[in-house]
Amino acid sequence: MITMIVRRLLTALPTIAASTALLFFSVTVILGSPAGMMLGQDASPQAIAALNEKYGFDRPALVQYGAWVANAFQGDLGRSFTTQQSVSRAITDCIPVTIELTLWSILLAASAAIVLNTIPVFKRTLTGATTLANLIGITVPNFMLGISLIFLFSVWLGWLPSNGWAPWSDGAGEHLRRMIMPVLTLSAYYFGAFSIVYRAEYRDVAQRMFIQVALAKGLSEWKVAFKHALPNAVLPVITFVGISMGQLTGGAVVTETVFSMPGTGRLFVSAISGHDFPVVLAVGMLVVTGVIVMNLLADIAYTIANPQIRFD
Amino acid sequence: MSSSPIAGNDSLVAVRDLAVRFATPAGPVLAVDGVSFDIMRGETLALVGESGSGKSTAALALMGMAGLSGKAAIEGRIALRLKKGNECDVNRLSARDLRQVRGNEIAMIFQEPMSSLNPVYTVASQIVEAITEHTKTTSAAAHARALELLHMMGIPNPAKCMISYPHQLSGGMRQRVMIAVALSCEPSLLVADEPTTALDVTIQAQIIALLKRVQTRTGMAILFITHNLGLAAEIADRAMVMYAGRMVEQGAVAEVFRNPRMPYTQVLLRSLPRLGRPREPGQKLEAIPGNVPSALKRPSGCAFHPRCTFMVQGQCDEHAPVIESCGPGHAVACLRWREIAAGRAA
Repeated sequence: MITMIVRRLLTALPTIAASTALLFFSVTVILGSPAGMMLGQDASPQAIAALNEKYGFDRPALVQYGAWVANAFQGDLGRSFTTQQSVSRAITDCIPVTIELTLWSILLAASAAIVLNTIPVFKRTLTGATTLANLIGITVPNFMLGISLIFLFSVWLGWLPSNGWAPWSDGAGEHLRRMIMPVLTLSAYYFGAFSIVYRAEYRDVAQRMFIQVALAKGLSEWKVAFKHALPNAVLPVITFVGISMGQLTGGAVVTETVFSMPGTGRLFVSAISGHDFPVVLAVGMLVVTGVIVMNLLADIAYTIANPQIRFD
Repeated sequence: MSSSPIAGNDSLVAVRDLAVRFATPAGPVLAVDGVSFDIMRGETLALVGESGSGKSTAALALMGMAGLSGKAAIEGRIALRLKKGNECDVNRLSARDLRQVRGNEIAMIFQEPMSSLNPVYTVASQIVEAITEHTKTTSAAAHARALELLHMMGIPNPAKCMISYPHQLSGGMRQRVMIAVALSCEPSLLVADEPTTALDVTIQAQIIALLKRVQTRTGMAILFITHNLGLAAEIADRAMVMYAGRMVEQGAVAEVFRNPRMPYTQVLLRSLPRLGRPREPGQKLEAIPGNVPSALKRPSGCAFHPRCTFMVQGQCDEHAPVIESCGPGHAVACLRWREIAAGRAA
């Protein structure tokens, strides 16, 4: 198992290298001269040349990429063109916010989807209501849901502060209080999606013979549902959780924007609109790494959930 | 309980006028229609019939599990003598009391040993679970009991089997494990729903031998559901033949197989290939013409009449036969059984 994980991580390296190369060259081709971009349309040729020299934009693209990779290995991802801040610093500031938002949301969405769709009584009486809630979660856009929540909990009821985020240093209570609405907003879609995947699998599992055998042993409906059906129906949700978490390392742009949270999503969007090439590249690399790592974690979780599945 | 069908005799189970009706999108389906039978303590009753004859549904009804796969209305009386000596009507038990019957009083093994075990749990945990559900015992004692059961099932390396997952076992081993699960609480009745159908013939013989051995040891009764008449003859004391949800013949195995009274039983027996009775050149094995009727469109009168060579217009297709005695402990549901037995029927 350990050797397998190491091997998987090693094979992930070329993937990361290839995708950063692709990102690097496509960004340089699409954005054109960074110096022209940074100085604006009226810049003098001398100023552009000076800037090119300063950042090395006049070197061949391959040389630039090589230099970027060499620096990246030392933890230096360059400086932001717009803020002059260290990119590594900017990213390490954003990541905890995004990861925390992602973890809470996916955890809430997955556990709610699994538990609500397993409870026997709910399955009999509330299937219609759960399906409706799933559809609402999937179809209602995040920004609308976020704004509605602000309207309900901040404006009408006055229970929660509307302006998003507070760091842990402000106190855990303050931090978590401001986490509630973003987490609810982001988890709504995933709750719907996980539910649909889980319900379909659960329906199949419930038809399998060992469920009837479990009932014939005299086990209660709850025990049969949670102990025998759930572990067999949960696999597709694990895959989906892995994919979703990987994608969300790039940030939940809309949710972060609505609640003004300093996460990677907002960093990424402002970098794209500001043609801030080093930041775009760094966040891109982060997403690729996130997807690979999360898929690996999902595969490991798979082998724990189902002993029939083994790394080969 | 004064009129109890099992008071004062040696019956373990007495089923009276059992009917199971499923509501399906295509209309109501009468899967089991007015079936009555007894199972004596320690005996083996073979329930014989083709697929769709209602034999599995009737057996599931004994555990209150006939209605699980859909909306079902279950009528009739299923008197069961409990281990403690008192009796109950399975059809009128609360969900909680039913769970005390399942696995504890009546246990069941199924056709597909491949899918009968939960793939995510070890053999040990699936046996221990059945034990701890019905008996107050320590985990260590339950494990010891599980090991003993596996040993009793003739599993070569019980300790290794305990920590195995189902996918690591062969079909025959899995069925042995299933039997161990079923026997874990020493039920007084084992319902075996085609337990050897999915197995190789050699393994089949081993499992049958195992069931017989266990029965001798524990004295439990077995309801053996099968479409295989040879198997029924081998294992059972009595046989009961079902067709289209109704019981058409029952009696001691030797009697039913030697002197079948119902034309359906007769033709079923003739459609069996026999060793040591070579066929004449050109002689074909007899097949029953037609198909088992759909439960949605059951033929009027005797349900077998469209396929029966003794059918008489205006009689068999209009009047449903009642079950009548045709010998000691032998009963048949056929309007013309007397004529047929006397050889007067064409």
